[in-house]
Amino acid sequence: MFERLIETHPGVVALAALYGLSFIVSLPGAFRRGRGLAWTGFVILVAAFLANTTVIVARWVEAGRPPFKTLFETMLFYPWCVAAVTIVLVWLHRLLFLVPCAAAISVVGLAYALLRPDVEMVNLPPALQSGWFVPHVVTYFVSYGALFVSFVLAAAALMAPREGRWSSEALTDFGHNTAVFGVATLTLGLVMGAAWGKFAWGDYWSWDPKENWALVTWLAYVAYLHFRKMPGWEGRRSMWLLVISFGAVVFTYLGMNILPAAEKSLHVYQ
Amino acid sequence: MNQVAPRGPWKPGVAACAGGIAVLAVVIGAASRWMAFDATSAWQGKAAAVVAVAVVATVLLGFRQSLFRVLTSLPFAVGIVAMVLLATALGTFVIQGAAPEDYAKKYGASLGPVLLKLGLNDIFHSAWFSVWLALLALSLVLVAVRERAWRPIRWGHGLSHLGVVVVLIGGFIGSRWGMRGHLDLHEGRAAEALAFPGGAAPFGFSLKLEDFEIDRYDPEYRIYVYEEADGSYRVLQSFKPEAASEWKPVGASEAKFRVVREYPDYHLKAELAEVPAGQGVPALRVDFGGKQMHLLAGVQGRSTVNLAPMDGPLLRFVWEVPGEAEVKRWAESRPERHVLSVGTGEAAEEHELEPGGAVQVGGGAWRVRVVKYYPDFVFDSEKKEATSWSDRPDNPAMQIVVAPAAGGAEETRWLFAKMPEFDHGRTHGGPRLTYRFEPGARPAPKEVLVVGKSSETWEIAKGKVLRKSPLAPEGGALPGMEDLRVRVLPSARESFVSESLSKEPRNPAVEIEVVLGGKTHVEVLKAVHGVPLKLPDGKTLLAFEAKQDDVKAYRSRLSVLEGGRKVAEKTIAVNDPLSYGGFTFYQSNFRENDPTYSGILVVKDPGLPLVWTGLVMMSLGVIFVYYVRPRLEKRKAAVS
Repeated sequence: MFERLIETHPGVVALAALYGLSFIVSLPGAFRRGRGLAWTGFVILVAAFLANTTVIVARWVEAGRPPFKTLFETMLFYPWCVAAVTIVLVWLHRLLFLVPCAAAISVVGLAYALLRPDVEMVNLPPALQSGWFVPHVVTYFVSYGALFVSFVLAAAALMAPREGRWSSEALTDFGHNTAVFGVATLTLGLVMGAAWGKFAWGDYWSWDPKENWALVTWLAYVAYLHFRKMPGWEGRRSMWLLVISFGAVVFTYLGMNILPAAEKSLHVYQ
Repeated sequence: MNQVAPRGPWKPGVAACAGGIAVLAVVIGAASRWMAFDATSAWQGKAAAVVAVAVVATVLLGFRQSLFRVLTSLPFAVGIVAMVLLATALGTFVIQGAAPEDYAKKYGASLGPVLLKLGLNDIFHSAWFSVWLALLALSLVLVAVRERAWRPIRWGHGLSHLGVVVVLIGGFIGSRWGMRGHLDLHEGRAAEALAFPGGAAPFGFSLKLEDFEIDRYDPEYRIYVYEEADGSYRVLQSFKPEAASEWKPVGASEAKFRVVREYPDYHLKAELAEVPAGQGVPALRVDFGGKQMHLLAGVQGRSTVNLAPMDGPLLRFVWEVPGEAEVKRWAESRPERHVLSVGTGEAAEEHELEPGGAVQVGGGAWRVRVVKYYPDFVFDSEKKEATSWSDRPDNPAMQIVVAPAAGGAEETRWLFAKMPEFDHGRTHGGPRLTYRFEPGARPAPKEVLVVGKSSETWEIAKGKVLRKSPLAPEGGALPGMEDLRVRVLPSARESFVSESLSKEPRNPAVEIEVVLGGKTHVEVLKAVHGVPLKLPDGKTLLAFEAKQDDVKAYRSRLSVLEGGRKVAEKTIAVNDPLSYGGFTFYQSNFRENDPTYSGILVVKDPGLPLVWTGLVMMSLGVIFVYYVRPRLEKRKAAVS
């Protein structure tokens, strides 16, 4: 079966291998003070990011439309977003331990995509032929990428020591700031979705399961932001909230298929 | 004396707030249920509601300071957000808005009615959910007041929080005073109002559908590999013919295939060649109006042709002179027969099969049961199932199960009358079965019989021979039909040549080589009226079909008429509606089999401007709080 995958989707398999290589190379050194190999792993991640860009652009050209319609296509885009946020944070703040985490989730995501690849490139139905398609999807996935990184940072903050360069407090700060960016983009994505819905279907909000879970995710992070302002909640407790809230992101993205109510939704991947 | 730190005014925790909010929902839910329960006491219900509101308002006013504190507290904010979150999540696990009977069906006899009683079948339109949203809006307004959100430093806070309130108000206005409906329009027709049960809302103008059109993607034909599981088919692979000229694997099986040739306009040309005596069968070559066909004497289904569509008779070809009894038999009407041949050569048996019946074959060793009969078999690639194109027996096929009569595993097989050599799906050890379909016969009013051996034509009507005429050895016209010429070939062999009549994709087909169990077979897969190739594993199918696609676009040219005069015109498409007179018209749907139909969604939403404003406020507010304000504060700190 592996040979079949290489034949049908060679680019994606190569990409997954590149992320995997980044993971293997960066893992041993990443949690110490940035050994040489960890930086090598980072460079490989950057290479994977560029390769990822190529894969997406190639698919865009071949399909003749933005490649964000199906689960397979968006799952090629998600690692790109995670890698983008990771690269920015490593560049600005030297948070090297993010590299193996980003690489790991990218390998997992791409493997999941390869298990249910698109058999053929389907054309866009009229509803998706809109100027809102790309901004809405891209904003959401950038948000999902940032929220994943905030999830990793929060988990790290919970496990980190009190003092040191990457103390629990420092990581909490990074986690919070990343989450804030995630919430801002999440809000924009939600607003764009409502605007688009109005032009396409006459309704900016129809209480359909996907919209509802997008709302649940947004409310979860809003609750997080407000919890933090309460005495005693700026520290570990809020980081637990970040970890838990990411579950809502995953469910919003991937969980619609298990909901009985979602079968007829326009938002469900076929 | 011990100093006890002064305790501030009481502030509830998150749990207390959430609990209180939940209790509120229960109370409101019960109250609205009670009020709706007895319709005859409507005035009593209203009176009770007024009294309850008055009592509650008095109590609240009495405690207004505590209330203000609670409603603007963070625990309350988190509590109400959490409760709305839980209700929304619940609304995705419990199906909303379904018919009451469905709940017992889907959630069981004990849980189903409970969900209905608790009103969880329509959470988002229920009174308690609306009250929660109102409470959320109230707390947002109060918090903006408390924080004095009009100060520039707090603009972010104000915009983000009041933005939500504005959206909620806009949503409320829209749901209360807005309306939505659907118009079924046909080209040339107009609508003046939106109809809904119990009335209609006039537009104030007439909306006419001038023109409707659909754009489709160019049809694309591909080779698909399906896997069958429990009667449904799943697509495993999809290949463009041009990409499959190299060997490709078929699913997870050992087989592989490659495309040898593509035929855009596939036609199986039957060619007749004369062969030495004894090596062929007697054949009649028939030429009419430039077209050619041939009949074979003594071959079931190939010895007659109905020329009635060309003002001709039934033409029948035999080699030897028929007896009177045979001529009479042709005049009888006969029902169609399904014949199952078992085995080959010496050991061949023939059994008559009934659709839905069963028969024991092979000397009683095997039992064959007909599961389904398809008069005109075709594989429906949309529904991924076998179906019948029509009721005419143009491609008779049967799905059967074969099992040892003494008991044992049942094997499902497919028999195709037009492909008797199809033996895929046959496992070793089972009997070799061939299906022959004998069409029913109704005697033709006029019949011309060509007797090959004696080279003569007989004209027959109603089972009686009217006239016999000689036929030249090099061939001649049929009596009374100058443009219909026949020629007898005493010994001929038929061969079939695949060809493409044109370059237009009128009958797309591909010729493939497929390697099964070490042997290479050549198959032709047709896209239309084709039979998929079933692999020996019994569950993998190879088919050539049109790619299923959505339509590319569809649009309606609408014109707005006032007093009979056209005042506006727009071509709407999905994602591009028309707004006029407070109404917005969206291209909603179309009907595949009705090309002049256009489905239009009509929405009137007076709350819309507020909703947009609120959404923009929210977006700006979030950006301000986290990205603008910190910079303002830094600048302030730097200055001071």
